[in-house]
Amino acid sequence: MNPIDFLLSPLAYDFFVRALVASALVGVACAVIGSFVVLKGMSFIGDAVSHAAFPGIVIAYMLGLPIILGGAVASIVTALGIGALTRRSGLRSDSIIGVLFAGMFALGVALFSSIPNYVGDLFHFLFGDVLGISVSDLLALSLLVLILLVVVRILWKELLFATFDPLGAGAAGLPVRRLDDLLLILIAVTIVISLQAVGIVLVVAMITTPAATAQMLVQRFGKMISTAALIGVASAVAGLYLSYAFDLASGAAIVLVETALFLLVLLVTSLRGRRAA
Amino acid sequence: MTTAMPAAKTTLAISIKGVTAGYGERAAITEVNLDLAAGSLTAVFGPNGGGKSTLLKCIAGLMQPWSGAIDVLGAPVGVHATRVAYVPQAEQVDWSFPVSVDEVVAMGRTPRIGPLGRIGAADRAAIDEALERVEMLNLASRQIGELSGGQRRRVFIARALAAEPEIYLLDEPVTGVDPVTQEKIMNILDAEAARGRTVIATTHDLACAAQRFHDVVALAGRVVVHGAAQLVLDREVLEKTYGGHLVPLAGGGVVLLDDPHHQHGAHEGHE
Amino acid sequence: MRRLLFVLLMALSAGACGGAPNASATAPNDTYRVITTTSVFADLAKMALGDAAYIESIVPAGIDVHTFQPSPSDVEKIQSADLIIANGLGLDGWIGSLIEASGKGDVDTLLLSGGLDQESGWVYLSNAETSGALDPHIWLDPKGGILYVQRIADRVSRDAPDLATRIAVSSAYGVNSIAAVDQDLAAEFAAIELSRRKIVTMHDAFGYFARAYDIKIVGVAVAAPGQDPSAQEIRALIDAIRAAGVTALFSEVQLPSKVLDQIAAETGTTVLQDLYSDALGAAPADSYLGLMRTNADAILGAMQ
Repeated sequence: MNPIDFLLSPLAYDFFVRALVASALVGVACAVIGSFVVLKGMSFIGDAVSHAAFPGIVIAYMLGLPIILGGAVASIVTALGIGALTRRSGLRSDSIIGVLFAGMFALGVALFSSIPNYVGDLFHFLFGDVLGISVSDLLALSLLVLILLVVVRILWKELLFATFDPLGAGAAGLPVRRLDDLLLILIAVTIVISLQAVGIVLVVAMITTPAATAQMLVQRFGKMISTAALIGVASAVAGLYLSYAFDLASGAAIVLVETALFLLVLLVTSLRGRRAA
Repeated sequence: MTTAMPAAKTTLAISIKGVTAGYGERAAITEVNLDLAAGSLTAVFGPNGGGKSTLLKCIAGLMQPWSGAIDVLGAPVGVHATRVAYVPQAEQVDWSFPVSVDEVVAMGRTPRIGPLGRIGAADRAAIDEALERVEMLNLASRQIGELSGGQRRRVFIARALAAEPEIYLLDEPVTGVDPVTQEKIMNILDAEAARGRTVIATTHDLACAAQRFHDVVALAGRVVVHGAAQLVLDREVLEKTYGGHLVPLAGGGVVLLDDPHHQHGAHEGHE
Repeated sequence: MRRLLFVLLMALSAGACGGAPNASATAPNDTYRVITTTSVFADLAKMALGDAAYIESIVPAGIDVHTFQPSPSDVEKIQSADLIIANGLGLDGWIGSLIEASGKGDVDTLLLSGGLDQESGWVYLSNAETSGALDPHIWLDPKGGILYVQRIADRVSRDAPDLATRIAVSSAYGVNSIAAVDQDLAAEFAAIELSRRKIVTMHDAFGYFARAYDIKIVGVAVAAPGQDPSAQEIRALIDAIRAAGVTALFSEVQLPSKVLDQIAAETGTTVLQDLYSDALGAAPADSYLGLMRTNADAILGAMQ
């Protein structure tokens, strides 16, 4: 089969096109938020918040409520909780995050094990279910990604200032604490909307890796975000095609592409750096 | 020792009454009373741990005093925060952050522009003028990590200038930079004070304080003295402020041993 | 991994309780106790034994057998059983560790699916998802159900000869009921023209059923429960569905799937959640005969 056929033929199937669009949207959203996460060193928080979604999902399922609602509530509460606890208590923040991370996930596992029946949908939230995404799912995803991007665009200057120099920003009158909380909420929302594409376990990679790669390539924050978004989309498309060609789990394939790109860029930039030295 | 007040000007830019503040259990400043008039150019000096940074952070609204009150431009701290510019110590910035010189300076305009606004012509003009005054216009697109120490300092001065504030709070603005940059920075601060802006800077450089500032505040946990800049060279003032750091010389006179990185007492509070 | 830990825990506690399994305190007298893995086999056992024995199943109705997670109370049930009935062939492999943990052995177990080819000339089908393995869903062909009933009857009669007469009566009646249903279904499916006798199911359970009535299984959405089809498998299924002109996709009550919904949307077919394979459900599928009838009605309905 020639390359053109290989690329075009799956596009004849609705489910594949939807999966492609969904993965690309998730790639963009995660990369944009991920740029802030990477620069603020919050990747661990991202992982914690994604795992914290699990008990929310299980509880929502048990109560017959929409799963994504439960996940969103649990993620947002955990994210804000991490923010409040790290500001308040004397413990190092990574201890607090680690405690919440493991505790919430364990709660989810315990609740899940109490459900007697096989629950396919829950399993998919661990590892993604992008091939099963429906038209309404995709519309909801598109809307949420759009809102996310609009919020970031509107508060761009404020978020940049508060991320780069919280002291200076606070002194200049910006509500730094509220901006921090807003960022935590945006992280939580991004994670929840990405769960269907890649699942709880891998979403932290989609947030961290493209942004970390972009950081090695560009010098301005705006360029970093757009480069990260581009990497996110390209990886999503490439990953999905790879999973199609080799019968791999789609979420994992996407993350593997992102990781490979990161390592490649790392190699190239460090070689270039050594030569210049 | 009585305070020798500078000639009274009409407006009080900053009024500090009975402020005590610190970190954890330990107070860094105690019962500070200070009035700074508009247009004043004041250096705050004293030993490490004496509370210089703490005082500045309280005025900037970055720290809550345990007691007392601070009024800035006639209202409590925070009300007029957009009219205050704060230049942090060099160590507190992430130099690997992917921002260019002009992006940092543009941040100074953010509070003015507000969330839904974009950078307009007036903002652009203020940014460019600030860059020109610090002589960094040609380096506008350089990433800040690629700058020298002196250049980095000038970028943050430019950010403060671009904000067009009424009050400048600078934490060690001339510490650790070359004399040429020091000169340029002091010229700018001078010019701003002459325009009626209020400038307060903390410093370890007593010579600079004496020569380039109008007034000084000696701070060693408490205000030792607040008066004309020459007070920096007053032996009694120095003794009361620095205590054991003064070493008398054989032929008369004293030398002050004050290593900027030596901690006198507890932390100055580098958050 | 989880089951291994569970078995270790159970073995330790069983050992601590004094080793040799003895009659449980809850055994109401000398009633012969039969424990089956699933509700389907429990009903088949009832058809074989009538009220000659006490019968209970481990997996409750409506729960998927393949992904069932046993609990400590299940070990107790097995400890007090005279006969443990399982299917084998990979359907209910988890019973092995339970049996070990309870201190019972092969001698107390009846594997319904084993050796049917030699004993009764049964022809096994191969398992779609695991190459080299056989399809375990023998009971979904009524003739297989009959074999199961006979096996259970023979075994318990041998174990408890005093019950043999009662068992002979029950099982004869049971076998006849199943045979009657088999005849009905054969006639009803024969009435459908061959080109319409096609179905797509959720997982690969209906091989024997399809063989019995000459139904063509066009494709299977999920090769094994708990696993998702890959993109290429979905594509192949869509192509097969379109080529075959199937109008309904059959899911099962306990196996929800977004993927199946999307395949249905893309091919313009409907998803019916009415098939039962490994477990009984609510009435009228609350007995083996009811299950067969319900499945047949649903499938026939989709084929009209």
